[in-house]
Amino acid sequence: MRGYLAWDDAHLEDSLDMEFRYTQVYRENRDRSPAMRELKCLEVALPAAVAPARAGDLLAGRRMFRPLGVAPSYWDDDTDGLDNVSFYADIGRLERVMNRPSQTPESQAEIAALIDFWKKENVNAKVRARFDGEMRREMPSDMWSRDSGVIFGLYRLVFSQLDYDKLVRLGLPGLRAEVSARMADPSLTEEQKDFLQALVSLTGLLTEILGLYEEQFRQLLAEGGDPAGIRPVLDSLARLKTGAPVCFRDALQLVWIYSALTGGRDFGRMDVYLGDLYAQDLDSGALTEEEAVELLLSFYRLMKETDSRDGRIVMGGLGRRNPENADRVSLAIMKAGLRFRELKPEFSLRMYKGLSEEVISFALKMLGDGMTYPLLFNDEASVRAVENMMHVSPCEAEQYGFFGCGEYVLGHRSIGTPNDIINLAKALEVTLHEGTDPVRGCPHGLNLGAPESFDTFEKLLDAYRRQVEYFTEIAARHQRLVYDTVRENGAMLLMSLLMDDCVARAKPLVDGGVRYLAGTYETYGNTTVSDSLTAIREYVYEKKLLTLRELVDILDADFAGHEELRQRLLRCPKFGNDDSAADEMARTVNTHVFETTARQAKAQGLSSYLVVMINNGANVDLGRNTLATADGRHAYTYLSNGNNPMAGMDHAGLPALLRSLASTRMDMTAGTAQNLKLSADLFRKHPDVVRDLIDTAFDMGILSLNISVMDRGEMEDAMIHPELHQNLFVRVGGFSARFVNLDSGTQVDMLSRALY
Amino acid sequence: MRGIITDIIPFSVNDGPGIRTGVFFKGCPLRCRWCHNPETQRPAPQVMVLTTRCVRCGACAACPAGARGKHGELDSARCTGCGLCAAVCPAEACRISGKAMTPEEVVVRILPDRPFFRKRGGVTLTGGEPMAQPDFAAALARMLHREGIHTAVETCGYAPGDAFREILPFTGLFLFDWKLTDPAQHRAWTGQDNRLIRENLELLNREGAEIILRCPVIPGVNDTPEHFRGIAELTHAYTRIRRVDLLPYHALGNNKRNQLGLPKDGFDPPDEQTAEEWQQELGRICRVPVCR
Repeated sequence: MRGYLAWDDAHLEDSLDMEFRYTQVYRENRDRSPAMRELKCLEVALPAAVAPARAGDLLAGRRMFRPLGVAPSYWDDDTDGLDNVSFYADIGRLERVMNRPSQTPESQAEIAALIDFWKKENVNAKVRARFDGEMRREMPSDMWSRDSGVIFGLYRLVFSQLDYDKLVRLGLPGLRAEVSARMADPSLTEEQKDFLQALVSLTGLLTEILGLYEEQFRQLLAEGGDPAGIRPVLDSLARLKTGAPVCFRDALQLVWIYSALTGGRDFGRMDVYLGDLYAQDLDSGALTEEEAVELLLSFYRLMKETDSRDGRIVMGGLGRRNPENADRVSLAIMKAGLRFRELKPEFSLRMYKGLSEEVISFALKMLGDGMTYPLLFNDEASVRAVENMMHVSPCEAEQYGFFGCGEYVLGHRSIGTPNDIINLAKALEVTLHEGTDPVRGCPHGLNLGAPESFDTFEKLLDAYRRQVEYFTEIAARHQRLVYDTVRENGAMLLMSLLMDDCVARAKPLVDGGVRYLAGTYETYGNTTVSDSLTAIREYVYEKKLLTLRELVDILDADFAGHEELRQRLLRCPKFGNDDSAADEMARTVNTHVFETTARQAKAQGLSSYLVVMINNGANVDLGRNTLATADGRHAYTYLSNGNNPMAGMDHAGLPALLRSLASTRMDMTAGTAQNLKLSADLFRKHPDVVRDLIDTAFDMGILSLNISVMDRGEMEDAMIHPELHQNLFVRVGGFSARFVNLDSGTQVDMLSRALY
Repeated sequence: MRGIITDIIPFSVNDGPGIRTGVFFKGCPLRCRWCHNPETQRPAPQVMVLTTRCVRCGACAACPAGARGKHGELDSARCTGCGLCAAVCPAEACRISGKAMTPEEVVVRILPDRPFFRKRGGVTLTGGEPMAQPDFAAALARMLHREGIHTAVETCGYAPGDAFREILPFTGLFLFDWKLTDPAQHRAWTGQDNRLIRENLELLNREGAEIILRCPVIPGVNDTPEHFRGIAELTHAYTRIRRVDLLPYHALGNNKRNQLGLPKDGFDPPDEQTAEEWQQELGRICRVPVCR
């Protein structure tokens, strides 16, 4: 799978003209300020990124990502699957072009020189070049999905939510005027003037690009394209060159192009910035709901076909200036989503008391249809949590947004990109192996003693904590290093223009511009560790059924010859069942890493540095390099993810599961993912129950819910792995059965029935 | 005072309105041949064996009542529910169904679920037959009522009228079974006549109880026009019946019968189309909505 719309090898033939020109400009401007050099590079790169429109496009703005460029994050999934920040270089793609049979030896030599240059000049490489000895030792690889290690660095400035409301209100000319006015300040330093001048020039460049898209659609018209579809695009682009959006279409068009050129993927409070123009157009009869839905569908198609990741749209919530209009457009946004039926955009709904019931009902309808979106947020509690953890005023907290699986960020005011990940299960593993990674067979982390030396459980727990603290400090330094290196190399102009307070302070994004420069830290295997510690305490220290050394040996051998012990370990108390022993251990493990992380903010000069416990495939990838764990998990299998029980280990029912989830101090993090799997039947027959369930979960303090509805694929998986679906309850009137208490044959039989 | 309870299941959503916690009573005066909770028929605790988990080690053959064979077999009739086999089973394949609990203990188990009940939900006493343990059921319902928790009672209706009178003030809803209209057929398939059941239904109607009629329909037993007409007549005769719940037979009880060492019940579930036809037919002739 390729992350970005093809930088189409065939399309470019053997030519890397743009890449050579771009590199030359980069070199020529080496001595200028980072802002000016970036501008000069963008002047080459952005026009070259304009990609051909496709039949049926109702909006302009297709772009491609070339192998060289500047972006908050370029996902280099053809080469190594890693994110690249700022000035990136996709070496793999360049090499593919170089190795084509049609290349002459001379052109190959030229491309080889280009590759050599960018291998050192890309910002990821520059960050790594600045690693100190400790970082080199403990973060030898960035390949978190392939290699073994406790922590890994990521390189990106993702998930910031730009001020699209301002973009829509002012348009490009208005932004240009604002920056120009700011330049009149006589107290500005030369450096500040330089930065602002770069922003002014940037608005000019963006206007030129609107012209390129205009040209493209004019060409389509000349080639016999449908005037009914093309003329409105041309009219809109013409208006946007000279003024702010005056209608819904203009707003959508401008936001799309800006976002595509930035390489941003989060659309923030779309209901707010589209709401007023949507209401105006509908009320005046200039637009029907159906036409709006069609435009949104075109927007979603561009989103899907440009970049396969993220694409968060936020709706609802406190702190909207136009709740009625915003709710109206939310319905259109969701209707288009239901028709689109793809995994993106990632719709999110901030639910608060007073939010339109129509919006809530539609959101539940989407979920019941198996969309897995919107992600639901407990809005009042989230505002309080953001206020508390990010140390901001209630008004600012109301403008929270979120990204990925629900990590909080302050809309257009903060950067909170997760640039480090930790495998907590690996941290426990190296602690049990005297500061050695048994998978790589080399020193890793602190040697805090042999298993025999942990003669009390508290000593073991203390050693694990010290290990996590050691790695977290390194991770935080890495986060800072990424920001520092980005700052020295570029200004992130497209982001700076729409992030508070870059223009007001006349400073680039990460060079003092953004109001809150924060960071986040992804933790994986939290529950794997806490369930393991619960089992170790019971078997080694309380019942003394075996020594810690014996247990470590058995884990190293992946329970070979000890299946009975594994079964017993699996039956130890587990998080997710409202079991006080398991839940308290989870809270101990989680709160420790939350606090440890938060403490790093000050040392690294960040406004906050917080844990995020999220959903993605990293728990599977990291598990592939993690030996067996004392919770009964086999070696090299997935770890727990998010604020969730280990898969299949929750069997006490939904209320018990939610009580466990609520026991986690979610308000000390920048976001935790809570997953609920409900049956389609429940949504169909009992929508009132679904609503009661959500309201209760939020009353309990759960900050967000990721609801998925069992679809055919999942049911089929449940047939193959019934043991992973033990929290299923057989819901037949009057029948009492826990899935876990049924024979496996019946489990499979039951699941197969439910398929129809 | 103690009652025998087989299970307390949270998030029951098909046994009354909203999110409910089901309390399953052990012991029932009827012996419906299609019973899907066969472990709740006998009043006393008894063992259930997950045969797929059993490793046939024979440890349970130490059973003092001689209810267990050399390879884990179970003679349910001999089982006294002493729990010895469950204690010695290395595979955790045996579990005892039925636990003596006080009403207070049951309420303590339920209270954490209370936030989920909200305006609609509550507790459903079911089983088995709650009215077969009338004092315990009434005491439990009274305590829940005092807590402000809505209580539903699911009943086969076969109990002394006084038992219903006693629990009525604390019961927000009766899920009242109507299995067969013909008295002789009722006796043949459930072991008891339905006269007392009809009297109790009349009593609850007279006393102004909220009633949902629950009608299991088993192919070849009661999927007859006569019985459907009988159901419809009840809805016309008793104005307190708010709804009919059609419960098409399902075979999941056979899994439990296996765990109890009993043979399969021998019935076949209806296909979806048949169940749909039943619902439509009943919907046509009943005074109230028919749900499934």
